[in-house]
Amino acid sequence: MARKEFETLTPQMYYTLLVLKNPHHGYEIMNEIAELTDRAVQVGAGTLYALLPRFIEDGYIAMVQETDRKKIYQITDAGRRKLLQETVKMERMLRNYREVFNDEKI
Amino acid sequence: MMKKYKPIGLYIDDIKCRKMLEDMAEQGWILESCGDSFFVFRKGTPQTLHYYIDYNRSDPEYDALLKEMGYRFVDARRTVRIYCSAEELPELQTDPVTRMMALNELIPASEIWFSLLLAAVIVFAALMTSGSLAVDLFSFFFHSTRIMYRILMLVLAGTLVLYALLVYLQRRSIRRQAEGIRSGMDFNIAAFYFINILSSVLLILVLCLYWLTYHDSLFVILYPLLILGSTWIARTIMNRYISTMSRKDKRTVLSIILVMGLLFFRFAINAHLDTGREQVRKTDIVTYHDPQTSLYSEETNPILQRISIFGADSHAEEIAAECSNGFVADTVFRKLIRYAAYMKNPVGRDYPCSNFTAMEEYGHLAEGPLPSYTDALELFVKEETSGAEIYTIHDVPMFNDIIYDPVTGIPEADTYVNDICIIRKQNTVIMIRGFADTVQIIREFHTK
Repeated sequence: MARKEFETLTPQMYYTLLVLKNPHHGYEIMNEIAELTDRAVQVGAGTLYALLPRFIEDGYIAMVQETDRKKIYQITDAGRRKLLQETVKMERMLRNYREVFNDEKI
Repeated sequence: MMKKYKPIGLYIDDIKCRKMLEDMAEQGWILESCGDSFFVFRKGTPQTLHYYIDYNRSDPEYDALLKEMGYRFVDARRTVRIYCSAEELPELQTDPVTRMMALNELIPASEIWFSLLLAAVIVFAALMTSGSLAVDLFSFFFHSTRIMYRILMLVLAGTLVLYALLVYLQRRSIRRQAEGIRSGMDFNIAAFYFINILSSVLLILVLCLYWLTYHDSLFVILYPLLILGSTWIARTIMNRYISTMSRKDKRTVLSIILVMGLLFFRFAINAHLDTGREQVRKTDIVTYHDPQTSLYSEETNPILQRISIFGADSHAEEIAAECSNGFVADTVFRKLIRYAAYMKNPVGRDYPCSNFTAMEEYGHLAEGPLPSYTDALELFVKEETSGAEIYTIHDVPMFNDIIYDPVTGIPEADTYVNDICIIRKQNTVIMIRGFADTVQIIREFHTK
């Protein structure tokens, strides 16, 4: 049922899920990501609002509150597991990198 | 106000589309709207405008956010929404994977199947009209719109197939974007032009055919235009509002359209458009100038003529059609030949036909098909005189005309059967049914 596009999260998708550990609404998410990554990762409004409903469909986030036309989202348990999965993949990549290059100066 | 038009095919390629829009703005052409087929630009001052493309549905919170951030909404086609701004703003689409995910949902595959299915429905409905045309010739003699109905329906189905092809090519182009292959601008535009021009050419051909056949009936031109216009309107509405509908709503609407299409095309063939009256005209009752015959018609049945010969009564029926051109005359003639042949060998009936009016019933209830034109023609004897071709078929069993001997109650010989004579004089077709000698008299009158 999960989309094939979400099998491996792109950085944009990853950070969107990550900052939703705490409840936020759309615009806040964009700012949080920019702050967290020192503006290295910028998620555009179009991308964000494309991801939010699809994350909800796949169960990674849920709408926790709807106030005043502002919808507030937060990560679900399934979302946390997905993040963990992706993080484990990335940690393995880091580990393998260090094994291969063995502290060589690049 | 001056306007410029560019084909809409580009809208699925954001890089090329945005570049095109920005270039146009530099030259002073500002995007005003995008319709079903074209981007529409209005003339303004040359300026630097930045365009952004989004694929998300309209939503109060989202729209307000974009507006606040400075993106000005221009227009949308389906779920592709175009925004512009004088200053440079952050990109809306920052993740190519997410963008492809949204773009893939733009044109569902179901549109291909739906178009093909609708085309099949239309072809089926068109082919189903073969029986009713025969009925038309007798009971609805003046509604010759149906002669061309089948051709129009087949062309309409053809344009739907072409539309399905266009959708398929667009989906393919989107798929290739995901693989990093961007179709040449030329390909998208070429496909768009090719398919739309081909469809338009087909439709124009049909309209010309209609004009040539029914050249003095404006309404008959409006009838196909009505069908074609409504499909164009349906497509425009679909492209404008489909982005605001949820998937379930879309399915509901499409199912409704399919069912309505079925019903419409099934019953449109029975629509009594009062057209074509001038095309097939029944002749006035004439007096035969022969001292030995007097002729009068019974008003209750305008096609029945009662002829008095040598003081004895004899029945005859005559239908005459003055057609406006050879094509209509040919069609009427061929049907009459086939019907007369059927009356001689009525397959699937256990009693013969009584008269032309009863053949209306035949049209509905004939269990066997009409013989083909070539098979039917073989039953006729052909003669030619100056300016007329005469086809006669003998010994057609006709139930009502049996005359019983008042004393013995035995049917008199030679009253079982009739002659049917079909005369083709240029664009006039006449069919006469009666006893052999009566038919002979009337025939001579028509062909002297």
